[in-house]
Amino acid sequence: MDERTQNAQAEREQIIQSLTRSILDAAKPHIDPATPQAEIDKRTREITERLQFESSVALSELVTRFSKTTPVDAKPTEERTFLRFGRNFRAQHMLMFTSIILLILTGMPLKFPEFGISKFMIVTVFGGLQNSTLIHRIAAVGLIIVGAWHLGYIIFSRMGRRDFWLMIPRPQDAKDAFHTVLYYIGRKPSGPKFGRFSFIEKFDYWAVYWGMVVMIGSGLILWFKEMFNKGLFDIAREAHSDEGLLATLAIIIWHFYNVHFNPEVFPMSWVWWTGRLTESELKHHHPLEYAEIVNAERKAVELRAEKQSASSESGS
Amino acid sequence: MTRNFALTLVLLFLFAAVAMAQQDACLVCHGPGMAKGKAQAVDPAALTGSIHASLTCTDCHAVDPKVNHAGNRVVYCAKCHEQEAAGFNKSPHVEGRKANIEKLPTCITCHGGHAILPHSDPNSRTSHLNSVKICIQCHEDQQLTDQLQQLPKASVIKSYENSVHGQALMQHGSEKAPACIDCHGSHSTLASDDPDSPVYKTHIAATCGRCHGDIQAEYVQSVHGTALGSGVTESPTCTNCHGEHNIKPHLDPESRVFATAISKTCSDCHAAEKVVAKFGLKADRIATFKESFHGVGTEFGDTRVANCASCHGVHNIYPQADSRSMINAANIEATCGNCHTDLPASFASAQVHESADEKESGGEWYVRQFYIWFISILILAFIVYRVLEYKRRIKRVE
Repeated sequence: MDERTQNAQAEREQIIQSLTRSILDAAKPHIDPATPQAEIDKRTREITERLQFESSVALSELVTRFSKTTPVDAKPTEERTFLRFGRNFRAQHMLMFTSIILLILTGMPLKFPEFGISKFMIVTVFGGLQNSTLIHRIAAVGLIIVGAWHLGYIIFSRMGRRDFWLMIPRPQDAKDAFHTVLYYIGRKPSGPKFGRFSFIEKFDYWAVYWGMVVMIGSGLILWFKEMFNKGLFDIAREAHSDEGLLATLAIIIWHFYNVHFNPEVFPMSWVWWTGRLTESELKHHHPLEYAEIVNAERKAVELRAEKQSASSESGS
Repeated sequence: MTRNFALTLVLLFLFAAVAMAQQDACLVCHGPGMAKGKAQAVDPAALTGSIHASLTCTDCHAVDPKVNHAGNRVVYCAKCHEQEAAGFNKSPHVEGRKANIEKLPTCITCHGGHAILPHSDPNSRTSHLNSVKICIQCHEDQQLTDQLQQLPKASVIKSYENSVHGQALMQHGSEKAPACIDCHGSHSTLASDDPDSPVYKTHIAATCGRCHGDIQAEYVQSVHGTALGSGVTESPTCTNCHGEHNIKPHLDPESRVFATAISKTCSDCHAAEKVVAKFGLKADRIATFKESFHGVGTEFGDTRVANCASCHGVHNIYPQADSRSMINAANIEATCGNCHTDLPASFASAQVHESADEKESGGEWYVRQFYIWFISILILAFIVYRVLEYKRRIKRVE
């Protein structure tokens, strides 16, 4: 252990000790004075150890994730990679998140106009409501394009058709979710094995699907209000505003956790950019899909061998 | 005839001579450079140039020269200026004297001593422009206003200098702009809670109306004007919306009636529990406005969106049932049409000031309820799931 590590450790222990002290101080009025000092000491030691442990786990995860190299400067590995998202799909995703980020930045302040950050966003960043509403409409057109594009993609593209078919929720997904919770609370030794799309990813996808329908539908009513009546306009406005909040929260809590904050991928899963998973990643996250691919490959090899032997037989 | 004329001439000469002689007699001690001991020097030229040139010393100073008259400078302005003196005697400036407050003004504090000029003379201390300076001498003296709790704070008076009236008068020398005395009266200057004061609540509209007559005529017809006229003192008059000393032009962003500020100004009463409860007003008018897109735009300082006045009028606010009201069924389409030329008439006839928090709003309430529950349950589920996941991860590392 070099000096720096030692220093860091000493510092961490100091922090934990001061934390423990403050916990003990806060707990003092609640401690029964009859409790023997040894018992208090024992419990304090337990808390300290717990804190020490959890903080070191969090710290080490953080450090590993931050020091994890990005694919740009990654050492070329010999590991095989598998295409997960095609170029078309990645382009859809990029247009979508650009639109959605702009929509959230120009839209969310309108739900919370009294907040300082909302005023900063609309007035300072976008230069007033006139600009921000224009940007909101431009980004909305982007989102509508993504919606139409994706519908075309799942109808006309072979990969799109296949992926959409696999995206459809099945009873197995409910079982997987239940299984996961059982695993988390320690009732199962291991988590469920996922195919190409886990229930987490399906949830992500269908949340966006639902959100797009509500947001685009209500947004168009707000945009072209002269074609509707005020009763519908008011309902659309409420729905647009609330669904916008729901979508924002879902993106931050669910999607960002899955692809950014989850210690397994922190700071970011690069699959949106490269579209590829390594063999070990595929094996770990989508074991059933991996098995399928391997199976298909084996069959193809067998088939080729069969064909070869057949042609050599007929040739002789 | 000639004899009469000659006699008159002689008499006049005699009077003048006596007067001159008397003045000369005073100036023996009080003349410039003559003042000795406690006698105060007087510049005879000051009096000669003043509007009182024809008066002699004893017309104002009741003095018996035979006795020692130091400090005996009783001024008898009221002898001639009866009306002004009567007004002044009712004013807080005189009333305050009973409470032994020093530093209260008398006639000369404002008008000056010997060199009094008519107030129509621009050089007069009490000319339209100069009169303000006299008032602020004391009323902007922070020490004084801190000392006398019954006085308005110096900063309140000082705000006049930046007001539309103060700027017009003090910066541009406008003869039309009101000085202090134009609203408060010159001699009686009664306190605003005195029912005879021109700035008493029920008199304010008339006071402002001396210049803004057409607006006053509009206001007295309005719901606010008629209410105040019938004795509802909570009803706003000019100053409740526009401010008092600090009145700004309505296009000034600091104005209380600037497009983005007006909902706040209206909320002083229309969101005030006391007023709303007493008169059975709808309490949610400001809150629902803030929720609307108009309100949101206002919050971001956008002046294009509608504010209270855009739909309800400014000085001409009437109850909705009144056919003159801008929000009367007969006029609402035109009112919305001021901005929304492309909206169909059905839009104008729909309910405004709706809140999704109330079931009567119809669809919005159900939408909001749905999302409140949906979002809450989802967030809760997310959090529980994440916490479980985290605990599992800890366990795995252990």
